[in-house]
Amino acid sequence: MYSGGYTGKILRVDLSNRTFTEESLPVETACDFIGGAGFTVKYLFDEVPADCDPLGPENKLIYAAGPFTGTRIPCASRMAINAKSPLTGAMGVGLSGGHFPVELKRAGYDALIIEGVAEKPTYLWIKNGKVSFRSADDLQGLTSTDCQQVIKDELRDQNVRISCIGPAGEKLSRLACIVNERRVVGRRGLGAVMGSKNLKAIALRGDQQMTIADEEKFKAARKRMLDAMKKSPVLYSQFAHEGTSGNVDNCTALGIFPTRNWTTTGMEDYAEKIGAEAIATRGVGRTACAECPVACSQMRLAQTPPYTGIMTEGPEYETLYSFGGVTGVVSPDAIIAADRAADEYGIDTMSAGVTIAFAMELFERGILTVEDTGGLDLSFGNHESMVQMVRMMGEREGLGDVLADGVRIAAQRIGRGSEKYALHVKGLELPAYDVRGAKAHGLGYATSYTGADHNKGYAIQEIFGLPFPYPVDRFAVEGKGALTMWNQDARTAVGDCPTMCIFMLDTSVAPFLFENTAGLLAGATGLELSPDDVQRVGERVNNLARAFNTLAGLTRADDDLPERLKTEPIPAGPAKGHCIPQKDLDLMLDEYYEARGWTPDGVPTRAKLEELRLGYAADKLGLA
Amino acid sequence: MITVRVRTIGLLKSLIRQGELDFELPEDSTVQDVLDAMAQTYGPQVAVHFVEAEDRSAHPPLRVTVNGRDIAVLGDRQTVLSDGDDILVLTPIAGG
Repeated sequence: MYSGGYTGKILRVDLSNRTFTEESLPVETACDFIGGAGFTVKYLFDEVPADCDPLGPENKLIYAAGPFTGTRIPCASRMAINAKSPLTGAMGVGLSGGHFPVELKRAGYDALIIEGVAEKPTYLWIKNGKVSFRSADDLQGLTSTDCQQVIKDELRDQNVRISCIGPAGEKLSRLACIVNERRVVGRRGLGAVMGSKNLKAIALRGDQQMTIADEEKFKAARKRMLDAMKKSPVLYSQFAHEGTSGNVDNCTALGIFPTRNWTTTGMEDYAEKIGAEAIATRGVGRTACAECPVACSQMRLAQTPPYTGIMTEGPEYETLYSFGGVTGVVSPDAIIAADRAADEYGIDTMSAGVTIAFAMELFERGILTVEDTGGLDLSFGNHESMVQMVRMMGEREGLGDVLADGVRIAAQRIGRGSEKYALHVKGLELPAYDVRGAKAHGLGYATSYTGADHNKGYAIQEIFGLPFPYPVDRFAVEGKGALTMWNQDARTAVGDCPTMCIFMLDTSVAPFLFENTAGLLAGATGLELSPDDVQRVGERVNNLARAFNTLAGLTRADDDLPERLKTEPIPAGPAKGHCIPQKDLDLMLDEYYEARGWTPDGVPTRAKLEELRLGYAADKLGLA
Repeated sequence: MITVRVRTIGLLKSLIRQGELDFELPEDSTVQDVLDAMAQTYGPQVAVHFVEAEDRSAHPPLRVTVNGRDIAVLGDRQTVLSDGDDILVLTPIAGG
């Protein structure tokens, strides 16, 4: 039994009937899934039909923090949100930091399950066990910052923490995100799921303190982690002051910073123009998620017309790619403006940028013309058009409406051979690593249960050169299957479930990652999981998510990469000549499925699922 | 003699004030020889970052690649260099 860390309660809200109930958190669920992403995968698998319409009433929106959240464990104000994704048709788990996750625990809940559809625009007000269904009529059309401010004013409490959607979510853009403060659960269109439920926002307030199961164990484990953070050669000395922007320089130096819709990777030096040093000239301070001593979030202010005076939290590395490199834009101020606009409209910066880059390539190839763009010159590098397109996507205006559901759907709408320029896996637009020069990272894109997701199986060995669990040759193909499984399970078990900022893995705790999580878990909750048990939680979550996706109709054929990555080598730079031909992808997939104990078609086996105490998933799959 | 190209980013680049350097070295020189040459040229401010960690299980304080590959999968600092090699030397980067 757990005796700390968790609140022990799950709040279930039925929007259709305007009712709510509290349920206990079963100890088996805590042991097998820890929290966060694990809880959301478990509940979604159990309760949502895999073949449902993601924007229909059967889908559910599930929030979960972890047992570390709201304790004094550093960097643990994180939460997962899950639903069947309207962008990918698969599990949609995304995570966010900020202050909302801690407030969810203080309000009394480990998880929040939202069902049904509200008859009228609604927001939820949850305070210490009381739930109110409030009218969101006056919030319709509001941007994320305004929405949060109006709710705070209405509730006469400026310390309320809010998770909301912007206009893009209301308009059911499949790229819509969910915003809390200035943090975002960005990917896979979960904002559209919220919009489909007529739910504009969730406001939280609470004063519950987390109990700690074993103070001595807790202090020892926490001290070990804090010591590792202090000794990190990168965390406080560099990462705290640059945030993620240093990765522009890193990936440029490795020759894998993708540019101009992945046609010119390695040909130009974007680091000089939008790398850490360039973007730091716009710095106006730092901010932190709750209970984080690092404060890696950088506040930046645009300084040149027409963007002068626009501030944003970020842009993070991924956004420097999506509104920078991949669109060919080299104006830091335009990237800042686009980042802020995307957050206000509530649209994923990554997918939005890659979708605009797709349209830019079509424009340059003559597949789209100024008649399609409403007069905009959508050439690569045109920063004013790029920023304007973000607004048009957020408003579903003109070509923005065509693009507002991502590249896969946009290519279907546009036709004319555009599909081959649409860079996605399972419908999710590609992140900021040209994986032709980092093969395990590419296998991670192909096999992540969420689509092309850099964070579900981040290859720290290839991108950062970390030798954990062992060093690898990033250009090699063989041996990447088992490594990718390790990366996915590690990140899930150590970051997404407890929940903890995954940057701690990258900077500080990788040498003892499973031990770190097990020690903190024992201290905070009283649950005694061995380091191997912790790793096994990651494996369990990835298997259950895969089972859901299999039930949703996804197969080995969906574990794919865009044609460009298979047939067009990187044209220049340190990774010149590399690509991932189909035969290499097949070899890696075969290795990966074998390591996972799945069939050659990528379906989990009954033996594997039962080994993971997931026999019910084997039953649902109808496995012999 | 061989000539190798050394590239740096971030902290080392700001200390050296150059992102790219060419070094002329004797045949069969190693990565360690390049680091020694850099330390000698740029002094203790740079050399301090080349000290090998006592605890090899901790986060490594330096990353070196030769032609894009980490030296950990080649011959570590004893990796023998060839004329025209591209060497990337950087203090750790994180977060993306």
